[in-house]
Amino acid sequence: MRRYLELDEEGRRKLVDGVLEIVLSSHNADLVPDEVGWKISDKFRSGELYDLHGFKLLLEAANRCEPVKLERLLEGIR
Amino acid sequence: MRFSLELVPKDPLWKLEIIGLMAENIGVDGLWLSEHPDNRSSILTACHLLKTFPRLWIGIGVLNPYMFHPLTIAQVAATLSEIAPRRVYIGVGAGDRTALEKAGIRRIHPLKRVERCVKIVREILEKGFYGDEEINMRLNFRPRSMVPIYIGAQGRRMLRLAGRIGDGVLVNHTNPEFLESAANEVRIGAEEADRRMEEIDLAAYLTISIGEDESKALKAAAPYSAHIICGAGGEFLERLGIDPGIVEEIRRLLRVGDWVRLYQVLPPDYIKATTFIGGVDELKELVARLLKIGYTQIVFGGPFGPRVLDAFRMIGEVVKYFEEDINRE
Repeated sequence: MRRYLELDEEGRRKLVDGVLEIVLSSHNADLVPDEVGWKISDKFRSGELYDLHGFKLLLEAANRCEPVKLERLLEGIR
Repeated sequence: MRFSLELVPKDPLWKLEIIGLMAENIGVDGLWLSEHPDNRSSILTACHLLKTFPRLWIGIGVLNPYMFHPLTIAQVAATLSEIAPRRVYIGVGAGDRTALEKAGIRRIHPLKRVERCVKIVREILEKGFYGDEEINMRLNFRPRSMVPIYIGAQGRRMLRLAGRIGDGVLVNHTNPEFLESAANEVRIGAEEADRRMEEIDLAAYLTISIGEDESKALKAAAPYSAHIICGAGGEFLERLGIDPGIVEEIRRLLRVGDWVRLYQVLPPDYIKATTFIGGVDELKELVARLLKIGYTQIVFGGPFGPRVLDAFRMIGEVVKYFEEDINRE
């Protein structure tokens, strides 16, 4: 996962929508810690989901609720 | 014409907040929060979202008089109006029979209960008190604005009642033929009470799965369609041409959550008969048809589509198209 955090902003932008889609369509959102979820919502509101911190939070959320789907998405990008 | 979105508080509040932000971005006017006893409280969710979104109105749809005393409903409506005057709607309906049975409640005389509930809630909100030979109730504070009362209706008699007494009607169908006959029933009810249809906000509460890939859209809609079919009466199934023999199997698959098998068992025609499946153009067509029939509000309800972000973008296109259309006129 760490190497995805080293992506530049353009690289992150390509991934954010896919990871956000995973989080929003998941039926396991209750597995995401609430504090992570609230921070994602704040970042979404302020348009900062593409910055490194926002991206990190999204990856953490997707990894909690849909680890297999996240892995598949990241493998597809590789 | 107004556009709104259904949110189901089965998701965490932070997720509902994100979806609310997306709804605001695509230009819908409000959100309807569905109430299920096993989900988060729609009332408390409404409190949070009304504070979060200063533009959107929030409707609670629907509270049933079996689980919520009319005084409680009036108290909720009046309190919410303090948070957000003129941005609160209350839905009242008979409630889901199966969900009520699970709570040990028998849904008896639903029409009478809903009618009485609306009467009591309205009087308390308007006059501050309600009294008859059985009950005497008062609110110690006044609502900060009028709170319109919508009636959730599907069956013929409930639709007529809604036409007689509702400020709005939430018609829980997606099939255009059903929506047309429902609108006619509401119209009959309105005429019986000497009301004009213009006084009533007629809302089509749709179950939609919008996407470019039909098979994915069908798959996303399958569990929703299954719930609709299992909750439907014999007359509904007959009108849609659904084999009653299949219903027991669908019910069993829903109970065990076997979505793969459910999708195999449920014919695409059944899914299409109970939900909207299609792309932007097809949704525009459906909305235009509903406008013509007399609907004044379109509620886009889940699953929205196989991909949530794409679905919102597409719904946004439809909303924009009709807003531009209205502005042109």
